Amino acid sequence: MDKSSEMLEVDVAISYPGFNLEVKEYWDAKGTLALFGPSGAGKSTLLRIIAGMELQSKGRIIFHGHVWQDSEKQRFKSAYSRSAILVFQDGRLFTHLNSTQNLQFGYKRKQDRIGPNWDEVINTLQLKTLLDREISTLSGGEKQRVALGRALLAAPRLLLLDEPMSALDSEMRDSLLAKLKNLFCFYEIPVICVTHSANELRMLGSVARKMSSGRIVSRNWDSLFHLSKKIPATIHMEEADGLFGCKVGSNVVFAELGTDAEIGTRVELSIDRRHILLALETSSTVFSFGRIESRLISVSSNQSSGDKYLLLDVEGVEMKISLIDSRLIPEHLNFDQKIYIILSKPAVANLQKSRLSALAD
Amino acid sequence: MIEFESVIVTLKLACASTIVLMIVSTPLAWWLATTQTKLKPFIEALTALPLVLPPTVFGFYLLILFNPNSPVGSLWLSLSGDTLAFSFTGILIATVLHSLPFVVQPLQNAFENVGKSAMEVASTLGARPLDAFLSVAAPLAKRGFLTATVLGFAHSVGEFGVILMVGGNIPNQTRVISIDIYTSVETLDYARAHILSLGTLIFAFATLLALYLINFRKSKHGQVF
Repeated sequence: MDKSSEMLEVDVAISYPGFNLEVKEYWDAKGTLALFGPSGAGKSTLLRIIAGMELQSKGRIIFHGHVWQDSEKQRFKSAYSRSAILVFQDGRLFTHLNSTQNLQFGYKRKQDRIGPNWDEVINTLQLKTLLDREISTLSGGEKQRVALGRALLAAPRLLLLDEPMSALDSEMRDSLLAKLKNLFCFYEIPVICVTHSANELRMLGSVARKMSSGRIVSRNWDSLFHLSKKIPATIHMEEADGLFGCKVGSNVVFAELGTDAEIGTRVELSIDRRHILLALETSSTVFSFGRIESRLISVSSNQSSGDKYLLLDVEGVEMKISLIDSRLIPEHLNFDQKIYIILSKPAVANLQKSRLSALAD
Repeated sequence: MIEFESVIVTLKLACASTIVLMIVSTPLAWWLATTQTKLKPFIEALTALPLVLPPTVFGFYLLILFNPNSPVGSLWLSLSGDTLAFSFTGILIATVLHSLPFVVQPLQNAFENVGKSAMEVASTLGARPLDAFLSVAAPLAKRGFLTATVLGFAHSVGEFGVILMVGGNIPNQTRVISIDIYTSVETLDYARAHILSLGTLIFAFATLLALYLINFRKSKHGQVF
C-alpha cells in the first residue's frame, strides 16, 4: 500500500437544531489521535459520524483508500462493514448476555481481520476475574474494561474511544493505558480517543486536536506531550541591567539572559514557582515583571504527596504549575478557563539550543 | 355425549392466527418502532382500529371485500377455487386483522425499549441488520414477544363478532366456541353453554395468570429486559 493511502480523510458536516459540526481533517492514521475540548463541542458526534452511525451526516470519509462515505456520490458504507469500532463511555454492554458472551460478540464476527487474540485482551485488561459475570453485577469501571475488550477482540480497523476510562481509578487507568498502547502499536490499530484527562492525552496521544462548537480549533498540540517546564518565547526588546523583554504569545514578560541576543532570537523561559502568582483577571495595579496568558487543562493532585497542581496550556505547551501552598488554588475552576501567570521576579531565559540540535538529528 | 368440534376449530384457528400474527406483526412493529417517516401515525391508527371499531363494522367491510364479485374475492376464487366468505381461511384472515393491535403494540413497545443504542453497538461490532435483530433486539424484547403471543392467542380464542359476520356458523368450518355458546343459548341448550363458557373462562384465566406469573418472576429477579 502506498503511503498516501494510509490516511484517514474526514471532510464532514452535520447539523441539528442548535448545533452545527463541520470538520475537515487529515490524519495519517497511525498511533493515537487525542480529541479534547469542552463538553458539547461535538467530539462524540464526530466519532459517531466516523463510525457510520450518523446517517444525516454529509461529506466524505476515506480510510486507507476505502471510501466510507461520499454524499456527493450517494455512497455510505454501513457501520457494520466499516469496522471502525466505537467504545462508548458507559460501555453499553448487552444486558441479555454475560460478560464472556459480550466479549465474544465482535470476536465471532471479525471475519478474516487480524487483531489481538483472546488471551492477550483478557490479560491486558485484567478480565480473568470478570469472565462469566452478569452485566448487572459489574461496576462502572469493570463495564468499561469489558467494553474495551469487546471492541479489541472484534479486530477494529480503527478504534474510536469516547472517554473509555473515565470510570477507572487513576492507578488502574495509567497501568492499562501503557499496556493498551503497546497492543495498539503491535496490531497497528489507529485510535481516536476523546478524553478530558490531561494524563490520558499525554500517555495516549501522538497527535491531539481540540474541538469547540463543532469545529477543530487547534492542531498545535503536538508538543503537548513533552511535558515542558519551559515556555518558548522570542526576544522582543532589550532593557537595562541584563533584562530582556520576551514575547510569549501576545504578552511581554521580562527575563534574564546570561548573554547578549538579537531581537527576534528564540529563547526558552523557565519560571520559578516561588516567584509567580496566578490570577483569573488582569490587574494593572500589580507590580510585576509581566504576565503570561494560559488556559487551564486540569487541576490534578500529586499521587504521593497529595499536593494539588494546575496543568496549564501556555501557547501550546503544557505546563505543570504548582504553588507553594496549594490551598491558594480556588475550588471552582473550569476547563479552558483563562489563567494569568504573573511574575514577581524575572524569568530565566535560555537560548533554544537543545531543540535546534534535536531537529538537526 | 356432546360433541365439541367447535373446540377443535377454535384451537386450530387460534394457533394458525397466532403464527400468522407473529410473522406479520414482527416486521410491522419493528418498522413502527424505528421509522422516522411521517406515515407512521397513519399506519399506527390503522393498526389500532380494531380496538375501537365495533366487530360488526369490521366484519361488514371484510364481507364486502371477500365477496366473489369484488377484486380480492374473485382473485382468491380463481387462485384457490373457493370463496373466502364463510370459510376457515376467511375467518383466519378476519381474526388476524382484528387481533393485530394486541400483537403489534406490545412488540412495538418492546422494540422501542430496546432502543437505538444497543443496535448501534451491535452494528459497530460487525453485526448486519438481521443478525443484530436476531442476536440483540429479539432477545432483549423477549418479554414483548411473550406478551404478544399470549394476547394474540387469547384474543383469537375470544373472537366472536367478526367471525359471526364473515364466517357464519358452519360446524367443523367456522363454528368456534364463542359462536357455539351463542347458538346453544339461542336453542336453550344451557348445559352445553355452561360447559363451554366455564371451560373458556378457566382457560383464559390460566393463560393470563401464567403470563403475569412469568413477568412477576422476571421482574423480581431484577433482570432488565
